[in-house]
Amino acid sequence: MPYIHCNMFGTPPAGGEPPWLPYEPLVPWCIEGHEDLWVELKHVPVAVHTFRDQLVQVARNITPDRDGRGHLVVVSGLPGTGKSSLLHRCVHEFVSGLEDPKGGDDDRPDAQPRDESSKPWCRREPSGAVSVVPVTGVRNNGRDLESSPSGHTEAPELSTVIDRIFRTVVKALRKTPGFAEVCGPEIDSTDHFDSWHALTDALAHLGRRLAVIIPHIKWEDQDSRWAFLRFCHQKADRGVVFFVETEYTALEKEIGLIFDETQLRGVTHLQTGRLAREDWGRYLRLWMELPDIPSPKVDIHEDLLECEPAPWVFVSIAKLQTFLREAADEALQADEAYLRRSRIVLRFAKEEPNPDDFLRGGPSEPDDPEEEPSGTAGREPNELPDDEEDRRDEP
Amino acid sequence: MSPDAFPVAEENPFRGSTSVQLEGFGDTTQVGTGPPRPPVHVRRRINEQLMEQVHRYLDHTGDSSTRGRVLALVGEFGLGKSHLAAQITDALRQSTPTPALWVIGQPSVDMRSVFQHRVMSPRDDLEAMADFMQAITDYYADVTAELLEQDETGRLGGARDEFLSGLRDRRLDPHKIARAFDLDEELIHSHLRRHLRGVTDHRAFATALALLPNQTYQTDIFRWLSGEAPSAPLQQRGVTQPIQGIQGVLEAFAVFSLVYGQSDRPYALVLDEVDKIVEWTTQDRALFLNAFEMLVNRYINQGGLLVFCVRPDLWSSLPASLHERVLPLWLDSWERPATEDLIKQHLLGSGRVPQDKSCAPFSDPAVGQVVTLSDGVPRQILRICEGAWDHAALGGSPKIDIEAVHEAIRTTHEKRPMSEAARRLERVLAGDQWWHNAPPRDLGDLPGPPGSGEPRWIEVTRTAWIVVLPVRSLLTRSGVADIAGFLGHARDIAAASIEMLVVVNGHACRQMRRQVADATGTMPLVLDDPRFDIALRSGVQSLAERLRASQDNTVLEKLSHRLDVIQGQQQTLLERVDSIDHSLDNPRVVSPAPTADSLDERLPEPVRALFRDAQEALDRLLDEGEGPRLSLVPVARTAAGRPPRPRRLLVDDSALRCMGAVVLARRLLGAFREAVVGWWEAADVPAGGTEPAGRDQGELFAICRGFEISLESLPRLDRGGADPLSGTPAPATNPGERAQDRLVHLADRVLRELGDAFSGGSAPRL
Repeated sequence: MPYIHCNMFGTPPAGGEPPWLPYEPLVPWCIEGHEDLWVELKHVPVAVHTFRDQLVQVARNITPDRDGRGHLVVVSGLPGTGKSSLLHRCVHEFVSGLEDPKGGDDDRPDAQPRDESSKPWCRREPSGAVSVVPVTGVRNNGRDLESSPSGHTEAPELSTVIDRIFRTVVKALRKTPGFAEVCGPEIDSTDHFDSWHALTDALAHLGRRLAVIIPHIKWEDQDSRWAFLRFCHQKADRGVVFFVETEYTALEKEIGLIFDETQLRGVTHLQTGRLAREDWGRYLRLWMELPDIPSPKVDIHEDLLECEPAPWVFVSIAKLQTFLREAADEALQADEAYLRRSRIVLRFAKEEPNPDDFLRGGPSEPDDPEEEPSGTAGREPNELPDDEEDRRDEP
Repeated sequence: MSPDAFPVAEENPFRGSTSVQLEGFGDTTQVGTGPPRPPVHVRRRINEQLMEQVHRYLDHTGDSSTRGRVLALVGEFGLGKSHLAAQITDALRQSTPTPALWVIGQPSVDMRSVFQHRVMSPRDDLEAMADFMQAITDYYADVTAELLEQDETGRLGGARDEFLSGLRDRRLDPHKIARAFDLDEELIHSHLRRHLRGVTDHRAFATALALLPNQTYQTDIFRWLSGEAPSAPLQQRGVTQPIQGIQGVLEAFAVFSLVYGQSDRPYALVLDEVDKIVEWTTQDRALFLNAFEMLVNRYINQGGLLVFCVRPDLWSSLPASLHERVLPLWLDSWERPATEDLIKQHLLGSGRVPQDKSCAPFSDPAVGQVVTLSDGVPRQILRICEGAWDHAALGGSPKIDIEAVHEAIRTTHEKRPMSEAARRLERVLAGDQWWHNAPPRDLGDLPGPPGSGEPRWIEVTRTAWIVVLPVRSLLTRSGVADIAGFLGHARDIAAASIEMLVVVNGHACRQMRRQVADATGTMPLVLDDPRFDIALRSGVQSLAERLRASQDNTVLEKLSHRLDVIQGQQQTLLERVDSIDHSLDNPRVVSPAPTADSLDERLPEPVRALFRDAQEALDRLLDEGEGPRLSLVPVARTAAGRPPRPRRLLVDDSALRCMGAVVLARRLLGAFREAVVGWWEAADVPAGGTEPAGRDQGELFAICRGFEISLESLPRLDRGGADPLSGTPAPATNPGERAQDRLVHLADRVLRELGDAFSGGSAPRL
C-alpha cells in the first residue's frame, strides 16, 4: 500500500491542495481559513487579549505620517509552542483592525462565516493599508538570516542581520504598487538613518503602514540580544510595527531592563507555553467539526475525547499536533475508519521518552533528521520531499 | 677497510648537536636519507626517578584531583635537562591514550607568538579538539540537567530521573536532549556561560567556551584559542582581545588545565629554559612568576603534569610557595660508569661494537681524562670525544689516547690567540684604571710559566702587587705546578706581597681550578665565561683590598710592638720612681730617739721639762692607745669538736684618725723642739760670746704661734674631748686627754717661760 499523507492535524497550504503540511505556523493574514484552524488554547486568549488591549490604546497613533508612532510586539516561548502562529495572528488582527476598525471590538474578528462561493484556503488579497514583510518567510526561521555574508554558517552579527532585514524590507516594498515612484534616491544610502527615512517617507506618501515579521535569531549573547531588540524598538516608528519572535524564555525578566518605562509603552510582550489539560478536547473537537479537509482522512472517535493524554505530549502544540497526525496516519494505513482511543494509548506507551535514545557518541550531526533517534517525541515524521519543503515558505 | 683495522677513520660517531631542542609538535616522520640514529639514553638514577614519576602520573587511577604533580629539573648547563624533558615528551606522546601535551621550548616576552605558532593548539589535533568538546559537553550536560530538574512540564515522561542521572553521569548527550525536548538553548547557553565563568575565573574564556557547543562558533573559538585575534561575532560577545602577553598565555594554559581536568584525561605542559626569564625586566619576571605560580596550583589541583627545566640559581630564588608545591629533581655530574656508557652507546650507534666492554678505541686513561676534564657534564663529554676522535683520525692513530683528549680540548676551547686574551684583559682592566702599571723592580724580565701569556702586574701599594697571568687550558698537574713555581719565584725575588689571578684562555675543569686555588690562594677565571669581565674586575678589586688590608695590618703590628716596648720602659721607670719615693718617705733611720734626746738636752732649761712632759704623754698615747687593750686570744670553744674561733679586731675610722693624729703630733712636737733649739742656739753663736742679747722675741713668738696653729689643724687626740671654750678643763684622766692638754698649752707655756727668762719682762701673750 502506498504511503499516504493524512490531511488531518496538518496545516493547509495556500489553495488547500493535499497533502497538508505537518505542523506549520498558521498565517491567517495570508491564507483564508487559517483563522478557523486556530484553537483557543488555554494560554492563548491571555496573549491575544494582551495584544488587543495594548494595541487598541496605541492603534490610532500608529500612523505613517511624520508624527505617527510605531510598535514592537515580542513573542517569546519555547520551540513548538505556537509563537509564529500567534505572531501571524497578531499581524492578522492588526491588518484587519485597520481595514475594518469596527471589527476590533468583536471577540473573534475572524469568525465571520466565509463566503460560500470562495474557494477554501485561498490566498488573501494583500491589504491596502498595511504592507506585511515576513523577513524570512512565513515559517519564520532565522537560520538564513544568521548566515555569514560569504554564505558559510557563521555566528550572527548584529550589523549584518540588521542590514539584511533592511534590504529585505526594501526589496519587498518595491513590489508594492506605487512605492518605487514615491521613494527618494536616499533609500539606497549607506547611512541607515537616511535610507530608513526615505522608506518611511514613501510609506507616508502612500498612506501605508508596515508590519515586519522577524524570526528568532540565536544570538547566544545578552548584549547582542538586547541591542537587537533596542534596534527594533527604535525603528518601530511612523506606522512601522515590528513583530519579533524569540525562543529566549527569560526575556520576561530582562525586558524591564532592556527598555525603560516610557519605551515599554511601545512594546508588547506576549508569551506562549505548554498546553492545559482541557486543550486536548478543544483541539480534537475543532478537527472533528472542521469542514473542507480533503481526503485521505479518518474520523475522530468520541472515546478519544475522554482519553487521558500523557503529560509529555502536552509540552507544546507542535508535539500534540505531530503526535495526533502520526496516529491518524497510522490509522489510515491500518485502514481504520476512526481514530480511536486504543491506538492513541498504544502510541503513548510506544513514544514515551527513553534515555537510551539519547546516548552520547551517537550521530553527531544534529540537523540531519535521519540521524535523530527514532520514535522520540521530538521527531518530525513524514518529512516532505524537497520540492514540498520549499513550498512551505511560500504563503 | 674494516673498522677493526683502522677504527678511528670513519664518520665521527659523536658528531651532531649536543643540545636538545624541545619540539612543540609531535612529529615522528624522519627527514633525510639513511637510517635514523637511535636516541641515546644513558640510564641513571635521575632518569629512573623521573620516568617513575611520569608513569605514576599516567597510571594514576581514581580521583584525578590527587593525580596532579609539578616536577622541576634542576641542573647546570649541559647536564641534560632538555634531554630529560624531551624524553618525557616522547614518553607522553607514545602513551595511550595520548594525553594533551603542550611543549614550550623556551618562554619569551612575546608569549603570544610562542602560543600562536609554536605550541599545540586544539586545532592541530582532532583528538585534542574532541577532548575539548567533550569537556565542554560535560559542563553543558550539568547545566541542562539543572534546568530540566526545575522543569515541571513533564516533558521527560516517566523516565525523568533516568534522564537527569544520565546527563550528570555523562552518559546522555545534552545537545540531543535539548533539541528533542524543545529546551530553551539560549537559556542553557546563558547558564553555561555563568557556570564557566565560575569554573575558569575568566570572563573571556567563559564566553568563548560557552559558545563552543554551537557549531557556528567553533571555528572562530578554536582559532581564538590558538592565539589568533577574535572574529567579529566573538568580539561582539565580549571576547575582544587575542590570547597574548605572559599572563594571558599562562591563563590560557590554566583554563586548558581546567577543561582537561574536568574530563579526567591526563594532560601535560613541558616548559624548558625557564632561565630565560632572568634576562627579562623585573616587571615581566614578576608577571611570569605570578602567573606561573597560579598555573602550578592549577596543575596540582586539577590533575595535570607540569615539568619545567631550571638552573639552580633561579630555582633557589623562586618563591617559597613554589618550592612547597614543586618536586625538584636535581641533575648531578656524571661519574665514570655513566661516561663510559655514553661513549659506548655512541660507538654502538655508529655500528662499532666495543670489545670486552671497553670503550675502544678510547684508551682507559683517555676515558679517565674525559671524566675529569668534562666535570661530568655530558655535553662536554660528547664535545671532547668528538674532538679527540677527529684528532686521532687526522693523525691516523689506531686509538684515542690522553694526548688526543688534550688536543681536543685545546682545539675546542683555545680558539682565541693569547694576544687576543691580552687585549681582552687590557680592555677590562683599563676600564678601572688597573692596567697601566709597570712590573715591580727585579721582576721585569721574570719569565712566565711555559705556554702562558705575558703576566700583567698591578701595583696596589709600593710593596703589594697583583699579577694577572693568562694561561692556556689547564690540563695537567704540571701545568698547575708551573704556575705555583712562578708565583713562589716572584715572591722570593720581589720581597713584596704578591697575589696572583690566573686567567685561563681555554678550558679548566673543576679539579684543575681547585688545584690552582690551593697553590695560589685564588680561584682561576675562565676567559670564555660570559661573566668573565665582572669576575675579573671584582677579583682584582677584592685582591687589592686583601693586600691593602694585610699591609695595613703590618703597620699596625709594628706600632703595637713599639708601644709595647715603650709601655715596658715606662713601667720600669715608674717602679723606680716609686721605690725612690718610698725610700724618701721611709729613710733608714736607726733610732729617732737619740736625736730627740740630744735635742732635748739642747733645749733651754726652763722649757725642757715642758717638752719632756708633752713627749712622754704622746709616747704613752702611741704605745697604749685609747680604749681597751687589743687582744687576739681566740674566742673560747663553745662546742665540742669545733676549732677555736679567731678573733677579728675591728678598727673604726676615729681610732685610725686618732693614731694618725698622734704620729703627726709627735712630728709636730719634734719640729717645735727643733725650732726652739735653733732659736736658742742661734743666740749662743756670736763670737764675743758675752751676753745672749741677740735673741729675737718676735721669732720665738712666730715659732710658738706656728706650733699652735699647726696643732689646731690636727684632729684632737682625745676622741671628742671637751669644748675648748667651756672654761678651765678638768684635770686630764686618760692618755689622750692628757696628751691633748699638754700640747694645747705647750706653746703658750714655752713663750711665757722663755720670755720671763731672758727679758725679765713679760713676753707677748699668744
